[in-house]
Amino acid sequence: MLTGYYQVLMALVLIAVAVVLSRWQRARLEKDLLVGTVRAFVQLVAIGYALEFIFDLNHPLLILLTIVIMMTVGAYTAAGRVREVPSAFGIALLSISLGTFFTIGLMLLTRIISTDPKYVIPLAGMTIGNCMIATTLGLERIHAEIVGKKEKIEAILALGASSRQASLESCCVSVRAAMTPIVNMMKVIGLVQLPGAMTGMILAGASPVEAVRIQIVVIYMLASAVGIASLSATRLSLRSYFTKFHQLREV
Amino acid sequence: MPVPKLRIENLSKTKVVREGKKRRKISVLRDISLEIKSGEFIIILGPSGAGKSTLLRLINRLEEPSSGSIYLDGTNISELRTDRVRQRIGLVFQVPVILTGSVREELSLPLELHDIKVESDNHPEELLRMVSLDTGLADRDPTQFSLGQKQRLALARSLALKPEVLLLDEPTSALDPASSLAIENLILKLNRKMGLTILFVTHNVEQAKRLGKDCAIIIDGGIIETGKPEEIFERTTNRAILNYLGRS
Ligand SMILES: Nc1ncnc2c1ncn2[C@@H]1O[C@H](COP(=O)(O)OP(=O)(O)OP(=O)(O)O)[C@@H](O)[C@H]1O
Ligand SMILES: [Mg+2]
Repeated sequence: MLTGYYQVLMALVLIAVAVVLSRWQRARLEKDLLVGTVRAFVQLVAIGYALEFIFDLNHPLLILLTIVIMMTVGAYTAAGRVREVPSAFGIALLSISLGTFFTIGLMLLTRIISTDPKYVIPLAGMTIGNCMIATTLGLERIHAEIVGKKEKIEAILALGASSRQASLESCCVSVRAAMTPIVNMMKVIGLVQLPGAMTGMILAGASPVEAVRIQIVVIYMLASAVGIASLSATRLSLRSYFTKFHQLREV
Repeated sequence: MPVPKLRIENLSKTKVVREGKKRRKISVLRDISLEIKSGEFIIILGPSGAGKSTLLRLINRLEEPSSGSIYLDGTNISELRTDRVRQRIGLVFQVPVILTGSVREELSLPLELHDIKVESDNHPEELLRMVSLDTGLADRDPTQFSLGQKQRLALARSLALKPEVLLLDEPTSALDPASSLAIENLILKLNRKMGLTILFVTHNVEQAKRLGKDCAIIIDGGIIETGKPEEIFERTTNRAILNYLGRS
């Protein structure tokens, strides 16, 4: 059993190097590094077995359940980083779901990918991860915008503007902030770093050209999902900041 | 008897304040009742923290009252569309807020929000004239204006919507004495010439006397006296007012 983990044990040597460096630099990261090492190991091994089980069973409901759990964890993580935004969890969950289901659904419908969990789950994972980051960035920004521009927003409202009109600028800025990482990534993709999916495929023996074909699909899908999630998160959050009578709430 | 332009009935407002981790309810306005006839000029006079701004915000419907009602021409404003209420009842804030990059945009913004056409009485030059700003300023960037100029511009921006009532929240408190006097006279003129109904909030007793209009004294969230400042001054025995007016 352990022989299969021979490579992993050898990789531990690399962690030892990091620990020694941390000691030497008095960065006091040894404890965090060790905890991280153990966590990464346990989490990934657990996920490995879970995925193997899901792939073998290949049941649509189980696949769906897996995706829902991933989305919930993603939304929980996003909400944890933007505690100041009222009902952040609900907003994040809805936004991540919209982005994920729309893109994965479209790819399934157009048969770009098959319903095989081998494809669906990793793709959903990437989509959810990117939507999670976008949601966090978008919500962080909209909160800062609205709190920071309170006077301006109320001055426009006082002239009879709707909440939408009064927050238009803030929403634009927030969507841009949420989408900047994926847009930047598209610009330099392949030039600086080979993306994860592609790296994985090449390591697993696929030809680079084949890997690139999939990667192109993946990055376009991610861009679409992130766009949807960003827009949804900022728009949904407006309900937390404005009343239906176009009044700015106290936050 | 004609319906008053604005009728405020038993208006109360409580707010939640945070004290460290605790939350406590405080009563900001208590049982305010007030009637303002069309074309009338009323001063709301009271010390800092009395609830004056809150009262104006409730009338412009930037906030909801905890209880009580506000009637505009006899209709409860909660039954009207918010944008209509805010078009008919303008609010000028204590510190002017500039919203755009040019005077022209600043003055056309309210019209765009309400899909109103530019006509002879609401085009930028005319609005600038109304608030005695040089029409040559129309293409300037208002963020570089002096406070007094900004306040005039904010006033012109509210006037663009031809409001029936204008709420002014200490419009001169950020200005020097000369600019304050100029703004006071401008507002008196708007009331006299255009018949605009005005609610003028101030904490400044001298200013209230200078304006020489009817006044409601608000202390600690309640209206304690109404009348001309000098008369209240003569007749009142209320300690809070005497304290406030500087004679105890
Ligand atoms: N957002 C808020 N949350 C909690 N309490 C508030 C809030 N805004 C105002 N208050 C409280 O309500 C009271 C009235 O405030 P308001 O701003 O209406 O007073 P004011 O008469 O306009 O004072 P000033 O002359 O200083 O502008 C004050 O005690 C203030 O602390
Ligand atoms: Mg005030």
